[in-house]
Amino acid sequence: MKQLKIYGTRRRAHREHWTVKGKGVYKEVRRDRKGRLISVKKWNPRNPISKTVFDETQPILVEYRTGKEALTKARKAIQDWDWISPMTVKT
Amino acid sequence: MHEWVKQGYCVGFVTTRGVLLDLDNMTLKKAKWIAKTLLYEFKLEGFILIRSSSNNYHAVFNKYVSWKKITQVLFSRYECVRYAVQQMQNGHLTLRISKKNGKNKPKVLLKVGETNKLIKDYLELYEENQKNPL
Repeated sequence: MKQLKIYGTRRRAHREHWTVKGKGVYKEVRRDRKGRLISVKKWNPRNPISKTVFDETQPILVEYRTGKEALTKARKAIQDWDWISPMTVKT
Repeated sequence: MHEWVKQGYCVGFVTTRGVLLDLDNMTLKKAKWIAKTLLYEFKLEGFILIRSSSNNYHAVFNKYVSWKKITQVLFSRYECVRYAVQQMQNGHLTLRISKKNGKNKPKVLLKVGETNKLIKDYLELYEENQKNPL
């Protein structure tokens, strides 16, 4: 099996406060490197967002057979994470 | 100094079966010379030279070789030692195929010799990324 590596600083998602129909709600949000929306979920305090941050030394390895399959899998893997700048990570 | 991914993500081609080289801070002439000498010295069948940014080049060699041979090749040139040490830590060799920190995608400059093994694997991914960039 051939492999592809996706690396960068990532976390599961982050919480944003939105106003929907005049009411304040929290949403579980993922954004890409330009700040564009990737996915939104309803935020629930019973399922808190993990604060674990994975850095470049813990990459995602994607296995593939063909080039097309590789990029499709990579896109899916990218959408499952919130990609952030390592400068914003508090140590 | 190693340049981290400052924003977002980066996609890399990974292998443990062949020789990849990251030739940073050198002219095209020198990068070509290093690739050619390694090609003839270790009989690596062929190579492609890729420009990742100005004065930074990547090389991919065609022949499938063992991990032992990879270490021999990488540590035979002092220009490759820094890259070799970083990659040995990971246990595989990686070269970027997508954009990084505002730099453009790598661009293939020249092909020398055969291109039917590791180069084919690399170009498969590279060409797919050219069509639909990540």
